Amino acid sequence: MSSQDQVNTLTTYSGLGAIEHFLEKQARFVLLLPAVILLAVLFVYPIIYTIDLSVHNVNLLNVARGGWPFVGLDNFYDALTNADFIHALWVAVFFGGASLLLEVVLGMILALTFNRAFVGKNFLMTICLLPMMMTPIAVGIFWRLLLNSQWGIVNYFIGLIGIPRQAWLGDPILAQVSVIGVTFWWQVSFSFLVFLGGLTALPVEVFEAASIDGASRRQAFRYITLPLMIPVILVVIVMRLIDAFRAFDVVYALTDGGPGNSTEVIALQLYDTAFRHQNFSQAAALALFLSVLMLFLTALLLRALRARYSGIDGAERSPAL
Amino acid sequence: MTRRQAHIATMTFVYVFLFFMLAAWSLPPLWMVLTSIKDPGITFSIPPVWFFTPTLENFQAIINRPFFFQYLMNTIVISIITSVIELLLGAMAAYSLSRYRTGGSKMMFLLLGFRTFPYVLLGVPFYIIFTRLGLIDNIWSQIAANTIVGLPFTIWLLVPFFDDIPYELEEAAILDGCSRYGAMWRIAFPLAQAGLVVMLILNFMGTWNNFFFPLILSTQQAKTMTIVASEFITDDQALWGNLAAMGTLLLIPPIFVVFAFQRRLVQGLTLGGVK
Repeated sequence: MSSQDQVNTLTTYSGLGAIEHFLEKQARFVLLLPAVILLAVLFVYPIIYTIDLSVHNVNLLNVARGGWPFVGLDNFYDALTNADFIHALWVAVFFGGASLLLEVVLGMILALTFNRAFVGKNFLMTICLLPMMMTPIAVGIFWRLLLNSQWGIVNYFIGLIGIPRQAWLGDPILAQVSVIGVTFWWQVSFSFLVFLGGLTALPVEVFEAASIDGASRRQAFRYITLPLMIPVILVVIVMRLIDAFRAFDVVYALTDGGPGNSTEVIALQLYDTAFRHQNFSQAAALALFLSVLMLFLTALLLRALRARYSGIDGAERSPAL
Repeated sequence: MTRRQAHIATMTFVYVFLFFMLAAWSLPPLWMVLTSIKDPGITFSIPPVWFFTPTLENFQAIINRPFFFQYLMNTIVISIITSVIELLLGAMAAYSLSRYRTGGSKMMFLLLGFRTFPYVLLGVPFYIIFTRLGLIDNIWSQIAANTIVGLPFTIWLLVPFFDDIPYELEEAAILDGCSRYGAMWRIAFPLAQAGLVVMLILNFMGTWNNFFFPLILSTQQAKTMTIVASEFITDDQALWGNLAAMGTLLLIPPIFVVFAFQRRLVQGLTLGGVK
């Protein structure tokens, strides 16, 4: 106990002084309080509200009235046996997985390319940041212009090398390819930047030793860089898989789930259920099911992050973790 | 091959590769910008016209639409209020977490966990709660929704900035008669300025870019720019120039921010992966 504390315990306070003293002593909680209250009101309460919605039947007709009929777990049963929902779940996983594969491969190539000093590096890093920061709706808009089957410039360019026009957003398969391609274009810098951070944190000594032992650059990559980078790669994979379940804006602007339901990702399906069909209870059940799935993936991510920050350089841990 | 030749070969490869990446990243948005300043007569020319006299006709058309400035102001006001609330509450909480280690590393992981929460899931309860409160089509419902999205991550990202500030400075201030809060406000906050500014910008951009909350929480009065842009999406080619102009307007703040703050943004975007 410091002398300051002793003085405080011996003094009695009254009135305003007591409040001041209380605020001063409890600063750690007082400072946290506003954020905690906000999280309780705008996060915890809505989640509880969602649980309540999911066991009742709430739709367009009775949403404003209240007095919703209790239906138990029917909404969950309906949601999980609904073919559209299962389809949307797979579309999201498939899109996420396909784009992720491209992102990891090209992101790694880019990171290896950038892992040296060269003229114009800073400028190019800036350009890399651009797609990630762009308004997702705008990204959807300009790709919609580019991919238009009649006037789009993509068809013009492939026409120059003799490939006939394609209905990029009109054909179910090509629309899926387009969504994957645009997602890849938009998000590849994320894996690139995380990989670059990982590469620059690798210990130089190991590579020096390997080159003295006569290892080629290819061997050094295969046997040193790749194994050391696995925790970083895991972080990117889990992070982007989680993103796959959140993808909404770009798909909304690009295809709005069409043609048919070929690009109807899970977030779009949830939006349609709740706001186009006004079936709020069903949407709440879907949302809760997805939350549990996300919780699981997030737990995986946090494990991967722990491994990443203690695995690469135990000495210099990120101060945040 | 000598070392020098090998080096030149590598660097040639690097530059050729990077040239293609640069083209792939800049041409798609650039094409939209070009479309937005083209005369409607040449918007659909095939082969495309690359050089032309620019016109602001498309921008004039969208600015002259009813309520354009109201929607622009909505977006700016919502973004500013949201990012300031997030910064203030986030910095206070982060200061507490940094100085008292409240919750320890478990708390930090919990906060990071919020980063991955799919906020589309909050759409349903928000819509119903705000409908019953009569706050649909009111900018405050959007401010509330956006704030909760960014707050946990704001706290998470600010803690290390406070960790870097030596506590002795505040201790000295407290001994000189400064209150705990005074020390935080006069010493810790100014010293953590770099982190606070980055967070303010990231949160402003997050709200500016947000599409989902205005989509469900606004009907007429409280619309934002992303909603207006989405309403331009149509297969009617006559409005292509307008659509491109709207998309271009949306991109002005992100592009400005990236060029002005690039190095500082990298850390925030990659979960602290790049220092």
